[in-house]
Amino acid sequence: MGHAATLGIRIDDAFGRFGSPEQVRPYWRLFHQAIERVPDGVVITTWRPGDEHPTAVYCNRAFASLVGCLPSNSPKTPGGGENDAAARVLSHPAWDKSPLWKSLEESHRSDAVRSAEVAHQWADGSQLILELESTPLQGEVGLMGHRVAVFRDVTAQKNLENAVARNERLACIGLLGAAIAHEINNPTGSALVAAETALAMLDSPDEIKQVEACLENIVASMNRCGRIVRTLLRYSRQQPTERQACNINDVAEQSIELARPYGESHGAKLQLQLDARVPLAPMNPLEIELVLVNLIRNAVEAGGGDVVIAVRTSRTDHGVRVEVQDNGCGMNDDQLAHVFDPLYTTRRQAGGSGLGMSIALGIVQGHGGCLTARSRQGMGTTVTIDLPIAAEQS
Amino acid sequence: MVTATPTVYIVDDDPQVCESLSLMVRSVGLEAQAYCSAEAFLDGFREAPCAPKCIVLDVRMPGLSGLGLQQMLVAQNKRVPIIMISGCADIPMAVQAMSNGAMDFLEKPFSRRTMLARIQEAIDRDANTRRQYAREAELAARVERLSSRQREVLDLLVAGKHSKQIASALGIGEKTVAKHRAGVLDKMQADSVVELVRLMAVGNSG
Repeated sequence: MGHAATLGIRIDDAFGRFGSPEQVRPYWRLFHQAIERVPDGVVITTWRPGDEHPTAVYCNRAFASLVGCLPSNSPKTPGGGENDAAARVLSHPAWDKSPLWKSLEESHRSDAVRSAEVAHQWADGSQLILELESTPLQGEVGLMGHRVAVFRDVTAQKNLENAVARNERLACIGLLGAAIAHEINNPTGSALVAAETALAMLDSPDEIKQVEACLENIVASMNRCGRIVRTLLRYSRQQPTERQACNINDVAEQSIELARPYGESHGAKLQLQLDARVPLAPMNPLEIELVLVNLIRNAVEAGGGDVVIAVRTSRTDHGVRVEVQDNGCGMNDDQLAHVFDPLYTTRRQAGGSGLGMSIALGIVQGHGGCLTARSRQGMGTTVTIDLPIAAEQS
Repeated sequence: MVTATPTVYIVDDDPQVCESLSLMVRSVGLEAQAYCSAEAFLDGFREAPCAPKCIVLDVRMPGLSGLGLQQMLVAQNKRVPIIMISGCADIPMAVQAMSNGAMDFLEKPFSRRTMLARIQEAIDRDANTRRQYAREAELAARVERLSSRQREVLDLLVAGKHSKQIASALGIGEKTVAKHRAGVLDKMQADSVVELVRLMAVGNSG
């Protein structure tokens, strides 16, 4: 149906019920001038009793620019008293099918303040991400059923956030990569030396036993490489957003296996304590693995030698828990307060990026979970990941 | 001089690396002894004085690390040339290994040719060091056989003093100096004062 035909975009439609046009014109001017100067897109909607759909009664030029119905460099100051911006937007043939209008319609279904993120596609295909906050106008006779919606362009901010998240994920995989490089360089190094040795001995027929030993070494080494590569491939195959019902025990076990070479080469003792009764919880197992590997790594570095690290799983009232506890150097209150801050690190000299914990927090929160750290200086640190069983609907 | 077969000690926690390196070392006629940890090496390592040797040592191992073992050997004054190897090296680690006196720091995977070249170099260096030690020990033994007067004469001869200067420095006659000089040359197994000076210089070098 064509909303434009029924839209109250003129002064008498918007304000007619408050008095005669002559009476309301000064207020209309004041209102119009004020709203036109708001940099965010503003849309006022109403849903009259008996109507099938809500109706837009007003929108400002900033909104018209946002959705591409007015050039963004058009004069910000309105000319006459009429709401020409609204006319342009609301008479657009695609308006009542656009996600923006759908989000406005949707917000009318409750009396609460609603926030949402809406994507808007421009005619040239470029996409805008708008943050919508819709508030009911209540308490005054004649305003019932009206809502004011403010649209803010958050495209640049979202793009930046996505880029940061991508970089953080890369940094995280980089940390893991160092551990995996160590794992893969041993068998490749071994196979290379064995192969070259076998070649060098081909000329001496009495060395056949030695050549055989070399070849067996190569086969075993290459099998090991294959196993490591298969583990790695899991990271490239799974999309970062994919969730599946997982047993946290499997994830904890896999993390310990990944972190063990690093931990043990630094003199740390790794213990795994699994609660067999944990329920399945929706998660991206690789992301949680990354978090755990990072936490174990932190614990190894907090130990400076003979640290004991316990990775423990348990069930909670609403979900599953996995903690990483160490008896290392611990943190003072100031360090603990900053532990999740991006770029905060006490190991800048040793190559710490200060990203590990903020990445971990981002991943756990992305799962609707909680990441908490407790620590006492000189006594050690415990970091707890709580994940809900039912994924939160947001 | 009879030399025993040079021995390469391999210390790596990865059994496959130990095996392939042992095969490589034996294929060129050297002796190989592999240990799966720094502790096992310390238990098993017995210094055979005349065989030149070197250690191929993994940096990262559970328990005592390669760097830890290297520091321990330096502290015990066991100066065996060490070639460090690592699967996952970082710069601070390499710097520490080199400043502790490692011959080289090779990242896995390395080629057989590179590793054998470095091993040969390490063994040559160790053999040289051993020869030098032997010479110094022999020379020290000869000096040990001198009387205290002969030792005074030796010092002045090496310092380039003539018989007359020596006689006045020690308050003895020139004839007595000549007698002591002959005794010194005899015990030091030198034909002339020039050879004696050269002998002492070589003994003090390195």
